[in-house]
Amino acid sequence: MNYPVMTAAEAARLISNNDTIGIGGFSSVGVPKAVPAELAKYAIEEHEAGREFKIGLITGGATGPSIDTDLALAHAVKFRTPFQSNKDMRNAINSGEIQYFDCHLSMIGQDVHYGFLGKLDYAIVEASEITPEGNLILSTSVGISPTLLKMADKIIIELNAAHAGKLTGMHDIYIPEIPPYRKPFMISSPGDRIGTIYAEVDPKKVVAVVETNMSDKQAGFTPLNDETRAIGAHVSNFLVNELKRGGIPKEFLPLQSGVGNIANAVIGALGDNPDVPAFSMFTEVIQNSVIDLMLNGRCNYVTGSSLSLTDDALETMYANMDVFGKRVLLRSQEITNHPECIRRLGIIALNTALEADIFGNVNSTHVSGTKMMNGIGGSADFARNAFISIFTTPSTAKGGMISSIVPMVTHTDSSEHSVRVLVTEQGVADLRGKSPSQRARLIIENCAHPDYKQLLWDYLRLSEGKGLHTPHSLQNAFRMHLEFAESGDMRNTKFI
Amino acid sequence: MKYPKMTAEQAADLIKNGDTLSFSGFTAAGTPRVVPAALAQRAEKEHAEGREFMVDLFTGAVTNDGVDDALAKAHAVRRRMPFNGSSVMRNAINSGEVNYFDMHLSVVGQYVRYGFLGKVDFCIIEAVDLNDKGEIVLSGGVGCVDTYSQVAEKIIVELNSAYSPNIRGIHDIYTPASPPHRREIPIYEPSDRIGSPVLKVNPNKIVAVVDCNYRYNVKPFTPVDEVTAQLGRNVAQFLTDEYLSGRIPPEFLPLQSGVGNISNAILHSLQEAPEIPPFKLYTEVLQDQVVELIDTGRCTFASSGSLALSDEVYDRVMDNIEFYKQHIILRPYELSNHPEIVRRLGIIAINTALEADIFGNVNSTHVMGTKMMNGVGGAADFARNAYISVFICPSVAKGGNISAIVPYVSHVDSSEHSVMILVTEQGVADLRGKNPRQRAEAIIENCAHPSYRPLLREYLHLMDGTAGHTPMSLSKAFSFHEEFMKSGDMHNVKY
Repeated sequence: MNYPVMTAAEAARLISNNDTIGIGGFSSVGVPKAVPAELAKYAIEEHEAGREFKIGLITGGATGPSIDTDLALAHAVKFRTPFQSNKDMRNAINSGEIQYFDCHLSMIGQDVHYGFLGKLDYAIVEASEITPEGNLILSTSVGISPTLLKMADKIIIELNAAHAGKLTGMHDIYIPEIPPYRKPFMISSPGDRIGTIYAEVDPKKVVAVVETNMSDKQAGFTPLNDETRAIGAHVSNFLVNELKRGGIPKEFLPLQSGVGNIANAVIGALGDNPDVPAFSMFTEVIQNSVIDLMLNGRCNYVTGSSLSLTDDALETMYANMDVFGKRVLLRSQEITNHPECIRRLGIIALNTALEADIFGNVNSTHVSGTKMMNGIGGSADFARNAFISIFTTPSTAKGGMISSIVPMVTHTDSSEHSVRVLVTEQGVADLRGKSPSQRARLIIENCAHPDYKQLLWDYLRLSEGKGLHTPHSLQNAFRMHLEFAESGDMRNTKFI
Repeated sequence: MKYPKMTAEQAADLIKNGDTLSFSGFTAAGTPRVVPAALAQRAEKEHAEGREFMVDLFTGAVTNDGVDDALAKAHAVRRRMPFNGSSVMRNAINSGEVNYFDMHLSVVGQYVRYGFLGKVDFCIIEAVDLNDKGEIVLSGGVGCVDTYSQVAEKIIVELNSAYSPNIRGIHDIYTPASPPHRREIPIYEPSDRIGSPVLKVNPNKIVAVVDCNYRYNVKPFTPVDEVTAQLGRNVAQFLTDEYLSGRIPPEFLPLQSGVGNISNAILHSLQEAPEIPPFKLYTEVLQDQVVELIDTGRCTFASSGSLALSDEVYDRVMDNIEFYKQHIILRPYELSNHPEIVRRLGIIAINTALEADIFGNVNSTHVMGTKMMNGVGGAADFARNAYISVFICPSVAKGGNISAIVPYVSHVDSSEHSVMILVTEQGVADLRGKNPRQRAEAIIENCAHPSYRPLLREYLHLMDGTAGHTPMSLSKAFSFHEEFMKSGDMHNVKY
């Protein structure tokens, strides 16, 4: 296919002030890198020339520094959705400069598809190959690229030679129809294919191909510490006990695991536990630990929306395609995170909480109720529909001055109805079938840090016995957070 | 018939202290009455004689006075799930006497089948017909009886002669397999049938059949007041605008509508929205207004889990049952509320909020953050997965002393991520694609009662300069609620 080839700088200059741009890829890998960096430079030039230049930015999830750092620092972003995990973008969101729409990742594709977010001017998508028909073999992630390619008026392709020919056949691309014509997704085990290996492109819409050869430069994980190791061990012991007593079927069930150090540690611990059978994963982000588990046969299949791997883990995969080629499948996040698939497959969901309250509500997003950290991401897609949903968090933060277990979360992302098991390095609280008072007792005893147990008991006793299903004291509900803001240590809290 | 015939009292005597009981039905329709009422009497007698007698109670959702009122009055319930609408039971829940596990209705069946809630001793089923093969014709409510009857060790059937067995054929009973063996649920549109017209139970588990004759005694709705009527018109106008703008496909999409007076009024207003084409319902409960929508051709098909109709309308449906079978399916709520189907069909969900905050979070359950009202029910099943999720509420309650729009909800049942549209009698706030500040402005200006707008605007700016993404003041977040508890009027708030 003869698409116009140009430099990143030329392609970036096709974009106009006020355009809405869809960025392909997901979780900082397989995202376009060259054109966004040039777009940031272009924005700075325009601003210096006294002209307005701001765009709307719709991505799959987290992106790379050339998008969220460069464009944020260039003050070139007006609107951002659905997720970010970048310091500069976060600052711009919290300052109110950027209008941020934090959204469940299973829904962002359909929000675009349904037209809820308005017209999409450009899709910028990284590909590893262009087929003779002009369609795209995507690279190390899918995100919402297929939908962006379908809905955008114009398409810019970054063709990344770093992955050329290496990923062909590892994608399963399927765009759900718009209701009332949508059909079931015929996925009843993680490896079921329902789509094509390429993402379809209308050749008339392609305005530029930019050739690159770039790594996503994923940061490595911090080494395990006692805390993450203990959380991992508690989770694997809990699952083994469930399996033994028949609470999980003997075939075991596919796992989903959130993103980050704790998630990586938990999956590692499950791999190390001989009582956990070899498992499959149906998840959104595939991290380093999965690569090791596949090599040693502990994980036998993984489907996700991104290969969020460090360069050396990716090299390991490319060097062992006899192991990985038939056991790794990349799908759009609309499928990996879809309630239909999650509930049908009976996923065991493992996600991280920023804070949890004694009644089992989880805050995944807002520090002290106001400052956006990253976004809700896919955690609530999985938690809400899982066979068992487990949330993990260290019981304290900032050297013990913050308790992650609080009387009331300052923002609710997954409610008491979606949080079935809570795990800290202290232990496990199984909340299924329990009333709020019963849940509070379990969480305080099993999950809270010993430094905070008495304080949390004191809170519970403020209102217990007053004829209240959920014994909150509204005037004291955020007292621990207010104390932290005042004295810097939640342990100084006095209830009134 | 080969089953042991018993009186309600004899059947109740089969139940032991500590047993877990499960019930058919969903609302008064389909819910057993005489055995639980007899059980309540027995519990009182046992207590009078100094013996412990308490059971765990799993129902479809709301029941009748024979279940929740009678058993709560008899102090015979230790644990209750998943939803309650009785004031007597509510008091027992809030006092802490009854451990209440409030849950999304779509997960009740699978929770029980997966064994998360322990063993179920009895399933008590209201039936209008029954044969020796264990095939039961249910009446107007299904609920979770498909699962309860599979997992319970013993079954008691109340054979109710007040209602006709001619209802056979309206039901579609299907239970999804458990993972890892579950397959797609092949419902592509509301009228698709995938299961059995009768409930099939193991006949060897039926330990008692109790002949009875009772009516559901459901009162008609109160006439619509002006606030509710305006709310209904606002919803109809919003849907009309969405439809005409092309954001709802030309075929329109199936509607779900919550339970209660306001929801009934919303459906009434759709009766009179000329630009909206005839539509289908895929919902959990059918109320009186739906029958009128079907009669007039405005609703072409309704799939649901219950005929929650007033006695008069219920009789009208039963008198013309062959006609209504062409337009109504009754299913277990695991199907009517299933995320797979809700998202596939592209349901437009309309549910009621107890209170909403300026950032778009909704409280459906807890009065002042602490007192349980009814339960989350199916609202969040639909809202979380809908094509468009609309929440509705009057802007004020208690003669204006309570603002339903507050700085921060005192309990979150549907989060900002699941609430796309908020409607009060004041107007409509479209929250899609907006950040918290923009949502707050839309909600304050369009939905809050004018008498509360200045206070809410002031709250929004309390944290100017220090707030992050969501301009929340932790020390003032509940000032509206605290003021109401202090002076009885939220208007008196001073920050």
